[in-house]
Amino acid sequence: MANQEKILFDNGVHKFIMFSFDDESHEDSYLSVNQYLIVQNDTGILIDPGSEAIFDELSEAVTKYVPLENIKYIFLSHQDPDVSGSITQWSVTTPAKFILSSLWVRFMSHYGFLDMGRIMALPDHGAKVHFGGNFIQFVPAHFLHSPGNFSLYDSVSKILFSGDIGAAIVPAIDEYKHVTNFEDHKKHLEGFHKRYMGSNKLCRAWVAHIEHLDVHMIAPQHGLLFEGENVQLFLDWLKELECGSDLITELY
Amino acid sequence: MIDLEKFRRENTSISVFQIDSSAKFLENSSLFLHKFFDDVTTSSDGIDALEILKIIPCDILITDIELPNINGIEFIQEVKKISPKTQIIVITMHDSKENLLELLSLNISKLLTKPIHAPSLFEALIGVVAEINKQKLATLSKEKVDEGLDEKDSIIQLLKNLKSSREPIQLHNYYKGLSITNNAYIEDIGDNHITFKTNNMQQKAIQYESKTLAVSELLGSTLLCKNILKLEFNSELIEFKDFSLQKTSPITRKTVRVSVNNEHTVILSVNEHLFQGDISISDISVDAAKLNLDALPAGLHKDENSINITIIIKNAMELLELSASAKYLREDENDSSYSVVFLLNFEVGQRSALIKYIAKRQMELIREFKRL
Repeated sequence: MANQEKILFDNGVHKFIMFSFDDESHEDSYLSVNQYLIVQNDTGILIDPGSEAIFDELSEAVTKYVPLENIKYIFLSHQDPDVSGSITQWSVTTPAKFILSSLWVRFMSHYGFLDMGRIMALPDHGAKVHFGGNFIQFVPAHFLHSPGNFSLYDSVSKILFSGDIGAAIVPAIDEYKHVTNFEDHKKHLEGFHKRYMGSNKLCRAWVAHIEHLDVHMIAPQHGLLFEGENVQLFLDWLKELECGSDLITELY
Repeated sequence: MIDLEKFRRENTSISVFQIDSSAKFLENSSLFLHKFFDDVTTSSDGIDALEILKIIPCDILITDIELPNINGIEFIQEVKKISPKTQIIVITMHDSKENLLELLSLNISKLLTKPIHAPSLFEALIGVVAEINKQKLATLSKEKVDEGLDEKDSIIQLLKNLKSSREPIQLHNYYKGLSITNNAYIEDIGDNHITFKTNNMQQKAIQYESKTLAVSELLGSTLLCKNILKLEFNSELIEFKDFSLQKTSPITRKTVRVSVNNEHTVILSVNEHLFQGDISISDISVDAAKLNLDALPAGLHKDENSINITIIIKNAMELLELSASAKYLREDENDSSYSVVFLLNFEVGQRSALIKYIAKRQMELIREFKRL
């Protein structure tokens, strides 16, 4: 694939970069995967670095922007293998602290980790990390889909990394991965969100949080970016979505 | 559930300054604040408040964002200049995004929206008081460490302060190079013992090493605890007889190191002279290796020397052979051998193979540790 990285924001001191390294073992599922990197001056925050299968390619791509020893934090939105499967490799090659829901800390030894000094466990209501006058906010997104789940908002780029929220089942594409027509895109969102998101009440709670932030772009872990008016169109759609436990009769 | 009487007793000396244009609000709020603090000042004018602050700094400032004669944001900016350590609680009637972002950029401690209810103000006060106490303890710790690490009384006092702060302390141990770290709390401290409450995993690691290193931002340096007096898995308590501060810290270790399995060979050459003595790997990371040598090779310490290290590790299924140019970093002399740390520079493909080996070895050691 040609377009495996794209700088989404760059003001000279702060960058937000998207990578699209697909785990080829899951290629038949058409669930294209995005990884992200925030670079502030010369330090990095890596977001959902993915599975062990893409570690070599991603680490090589990341070093173009920041040396691995300067990666200060690795944020894991939740515990799935396509998010956290390479924890061991990143723990070996970087000094980074891992930021994740306190719910998953007890499972860390299964990922090859007994050093809790390198874990920043997020409480359920999230946290905010200030740097200068700016901040990174970890926004609760529980049960959307994981029970211990967070989104990440960067106040400089005004990009919201939404994890699985906004994920679309689309084939991996070479072009810039963004939504051009929201109405057309809805069909790629519906199936995934109806099955993977907990309930409409949970969706509304997340949207209410997000609407307090100044969001210019929503960057999901799978699928395409939402920019400009598509941000609000997506939030409005999610607010009205019946999903998860709302559709329980279809499951039992 | 917070013990109000204890909260008052421990924090009565903290000074509070409240600014609000409403005299009635100030009167009510002042009555509430006096329940916890002796030193409470109020002012209904922002300019007057700044003049007072120049003469009498305060620990906590509670201010409305809407003030007569001065813009609230400017007022807070001035307070930050006059008294940078003051914890600021801002009360606002409006919840506008512009105000909110501006306030956040000022690093205020808490933001409350009117109408203010006693529980929300009290909760905000608990948060800022904890921060004030943490800062005071950090200053005290630094002073004690600067006075000298050997003063046992100072160390005990420091640890007593840490115990009452209920701030967690991190315990560090190693199992065959693998770092095992968990939080702990000081349960008891006396002249000849210190007791921590931690978890079973850390207790097991301590049992294996018969010691632990305790680290806290508030301690300023590392506490080495040894000679286990009591270890109870049910209560998760562990008691040590001896403890002392030391200047080296385990948190300077940045990346994962592991010991390798016994079936390995190391070939070391310095300026193309093959080292003929006994040599083995103590532990290895992606950037460095600690080798055990029975003697030091000639020319090891010279800056211009050329060092090459080849490592052959026999795994269950494969033979891993890695070669790197190396740089001498430091050495320790043991009873009958030397531990020498070399920085390693592998080619990309070899480094990638080493990462895979360390990741796999890490899992192997975790399984081994869990079976202990």
